[in-house]
Amino acid sequence: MTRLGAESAAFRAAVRKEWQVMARYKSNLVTLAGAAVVVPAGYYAQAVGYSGASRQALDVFASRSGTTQIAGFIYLGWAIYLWISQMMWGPGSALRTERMQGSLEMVYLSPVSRFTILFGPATAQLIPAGLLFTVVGLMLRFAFGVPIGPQQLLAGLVVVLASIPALFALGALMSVITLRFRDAEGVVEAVRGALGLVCGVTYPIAVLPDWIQPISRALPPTQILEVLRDQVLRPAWAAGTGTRLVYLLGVGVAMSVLATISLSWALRSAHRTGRLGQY
Amino acid sequence: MPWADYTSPPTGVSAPSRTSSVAPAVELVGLTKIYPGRKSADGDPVAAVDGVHLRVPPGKVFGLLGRNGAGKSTIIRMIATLMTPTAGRISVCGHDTRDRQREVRKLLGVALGGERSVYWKLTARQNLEYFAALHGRSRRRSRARIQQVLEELNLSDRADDHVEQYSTGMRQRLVIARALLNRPAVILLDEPTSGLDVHAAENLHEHVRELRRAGQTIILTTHDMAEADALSDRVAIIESGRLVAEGTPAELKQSIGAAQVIHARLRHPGDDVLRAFVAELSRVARITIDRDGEAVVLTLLSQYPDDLVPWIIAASSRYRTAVLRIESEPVSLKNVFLAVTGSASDDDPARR
Repeated sequence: MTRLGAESAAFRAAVRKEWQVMARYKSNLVTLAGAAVVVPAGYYAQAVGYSGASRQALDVFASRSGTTQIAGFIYLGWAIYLWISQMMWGPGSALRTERMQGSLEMVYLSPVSRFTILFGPATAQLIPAGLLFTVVGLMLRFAFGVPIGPQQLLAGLVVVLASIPALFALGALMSVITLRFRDAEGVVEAVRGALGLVCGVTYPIAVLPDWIQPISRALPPTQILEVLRDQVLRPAWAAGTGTRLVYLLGVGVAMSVLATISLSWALRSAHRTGRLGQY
Repeated sequence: MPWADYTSPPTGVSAPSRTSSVAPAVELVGLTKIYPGRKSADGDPVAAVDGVHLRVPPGKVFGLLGRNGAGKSTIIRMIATLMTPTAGRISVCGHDTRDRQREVRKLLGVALGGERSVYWKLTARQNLEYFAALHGRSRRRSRARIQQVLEELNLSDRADDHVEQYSTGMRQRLVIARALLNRPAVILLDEPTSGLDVHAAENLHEHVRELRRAGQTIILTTHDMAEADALSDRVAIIESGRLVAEGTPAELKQSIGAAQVIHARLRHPGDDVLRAFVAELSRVARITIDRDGEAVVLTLLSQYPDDLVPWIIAASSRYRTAVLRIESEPVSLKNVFLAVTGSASDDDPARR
């Protein structure tokens, strides 16, 4: 078998292994789908409670968010937030578990590339992500009557695909932090909390203080949220979308390079300290 | 507290062998590991492994024996390429582990980390398929080999059960099955029977013996003296990161200059009488004395092959000292271990 063939078999096996575990615990997938439906319903009820059916309130919301679809805004924001959380914590959590139980050393001893170790588990996360977006799409279309047609679905899919490199890289960086600092759960929680606050998950970033808004706009999760909402909640391809997608892809590539370099550094350090087998 | 002891290494302990006509399967030359930041109370770096020279002959079981924290696992991890040595060199089948890491990993089958190092939420077969794939083998190509190792380790009947339903012994066997998957030239087993009950440990020992009969080179770390004695063709004793003795179990036993060990439990006769009694016994044996409440426990290492028990009983009656219990046994690796590593601490393996 060629090197590429062997690597491809290893990558498929890494994805399959994660999926085999996921499939054993179907209740986790049901919980994820439930969280995608139930939690945003609370935010939606809150928004309706504060603004009522006032035209003026809706206009203000539209001027800040670019849409009058409150449910669509919140549900898409929440779905992306869940996805980002999964991508960010899923691979790092898998690596942490591997190290805790001692299998990480065994995986590391195989000749497989570090790319496979890092991105195999992340790829498996696309399966629950698919479920997540399907549930949210059905919810918006049939429970809230958001006009989502084939064009919006296609555009949304393009945005999701374009955001994958950035999110994979973010997950990989978190994995490296896990590897270097033993237990990075606190760091991940802090990052997740900060993203929830500044990236406009359930409210437009226009309500944030002026000095935070440029920082928020530069963050990949905000870009993903904004461009996804633009494509799904608006009838036509929004101006500047192409540039934003290229930006997302560029950030994804840059972060992937950073993650790969960081992983090499963390592994070299683990080689010296023996930390690969410690928890 | 010991009054007299046999802790200083006798001159007969064999030095590490450095020459052999057979090319070694694994060779360690001046192997040293200093963990960054680990320092003694006076600020000097502490070596976890300190200038170890070893040659592991092919087709043999080589036991690395030492107490917890002696440096055995650090040595195994350096051989496995999981850690870089601070100084020194390791070669596996002629390949240097620094320059030829990829080749070395293909030659090794490693069982580290115990039963937790397999995925409990997968079946044994799924575990092996995964690890075979990480070594570049598709499921189709690895199917026959997986079935073979499952059968060799008596796991084929339960191959499709989830590992979480296995006993500890079965999980350990799965760990060894994984190590065998790629037909390695050298197998590294780190504390393979740790946590196993007697039957499971004996079962695992039998598997190791079968591998030895098949001509497999195995490096085994353990702190269980009986296990090292029963399984190893050669044994190296590691103490505080240093190699303190190496040889076949028989050579090591000979090296401490004793033929038998006698344990005698006496009612304490008073310090003066005990001192005189011990002085007489010291003519034929080296003695360690421990107090145990109202009793005294003497451990005698005698170089005479004759049974000294009747003579000791006769001597004790001359000193009006009651012998509560006395037993004689051949010299074991435990005695060698105590002789070359010094007095035991509470968690010393020799006391197990």
